[in-house]
Amino acid sequence: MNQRNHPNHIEHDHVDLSHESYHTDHDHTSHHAGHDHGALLGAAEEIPAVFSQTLFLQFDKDMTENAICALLYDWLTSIQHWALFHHHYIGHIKIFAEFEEGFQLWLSATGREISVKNTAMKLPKNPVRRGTAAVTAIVFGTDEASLKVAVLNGWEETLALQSGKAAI
Amino acid sequence: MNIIIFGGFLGAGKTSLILSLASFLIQKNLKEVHQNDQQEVQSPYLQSPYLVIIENEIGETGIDHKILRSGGYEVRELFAGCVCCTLAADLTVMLNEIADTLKPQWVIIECTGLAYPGNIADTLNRYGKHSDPIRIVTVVDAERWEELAEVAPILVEKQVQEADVVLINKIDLADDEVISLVEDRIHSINASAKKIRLSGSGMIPGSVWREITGANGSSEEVTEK
Repeated sequence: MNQRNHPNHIEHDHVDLSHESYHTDHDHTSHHAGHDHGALLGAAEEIPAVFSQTLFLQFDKDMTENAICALLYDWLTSIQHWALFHHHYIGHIKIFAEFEEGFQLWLSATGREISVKNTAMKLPKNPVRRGTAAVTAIVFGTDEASLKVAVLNGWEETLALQSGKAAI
Repeated sequence: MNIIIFGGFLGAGKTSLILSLASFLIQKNLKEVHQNDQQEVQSPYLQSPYLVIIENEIGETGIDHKILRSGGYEVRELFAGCVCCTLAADLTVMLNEIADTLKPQWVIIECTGLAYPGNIADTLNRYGKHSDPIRIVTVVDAERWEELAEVAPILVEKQVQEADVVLINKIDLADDEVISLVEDRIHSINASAKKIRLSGSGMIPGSVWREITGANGSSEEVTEK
């Protein structure tokens, strides 16, 4: 069995995405990680760039469920805008965010409308300050380094706009 | 052990439809268990999960398994690769282990949107321990079909070609003319596949899942949990 790819051996990245900074020590080294149809089907051009990480979300003020939902929505929108502006084709962008008290949000988009679902059907009784977001963006026509920058910058810019600061 | 492989392009709506199918299967099982209880007959499957979902995602961080698990389902994960190619051996080992230990009645495999489901079925038929035939369901995004046929023509065509059933999803987002064109194109690729139009954002008629699972029953409707 491939140990590197076995679910028990995956080490999720936890990237601190506070207002001040974010950092990650993880980098994809292969352009099309984890997928190989080889030359047999001639489908190499059909394989997209993939960004996939779990991010630690830290807010510098109390957040309501509506504010969090709007923030994540704007983040996803920023990734969509980046892709469309550069004429990349969006395969799928998904965010699954989990917060205190079992509050969960699932957002997904394919370049058109954004679907938002509260999967656990729970709302937080108290304001939220932190959580995690599993993010997967699959985009055709770009490379993983560019996609990663777009996703992470998109978060910083969204946070900055949300708190009234100028976007980076 | 019945196996259904769910294929289809990225964002076609596979996870939402699997939630609906899983809900259908669990409701069906609950009815059967209830009937068995009344007859004081114990099912050999009561102690083990009736349904196991294998979730495969191309990224290193999974998302869909969390969504399916939040619905209360038994989920196994294979991340950072594709079960039709790089993780084919891992899938076979996992499925055989499930067959040996959990012995569920149903296994649903959700592929990545980049997978060729026929490759998966071939591998499992060759090395798997199951004996029942594998069904391949391909989910097609009616709204994006024409774009996808340009961006990834080989992939979308082969996903349809290998299907036993093609679910033409998101019909609420496309007009009738477009849906008819998509259906015609799908028919030209795979004339023998059953084609079903639906919208995963709404109620899925129970008849859709009975068609796929071969289950008997009433005309009740189910939707995702």
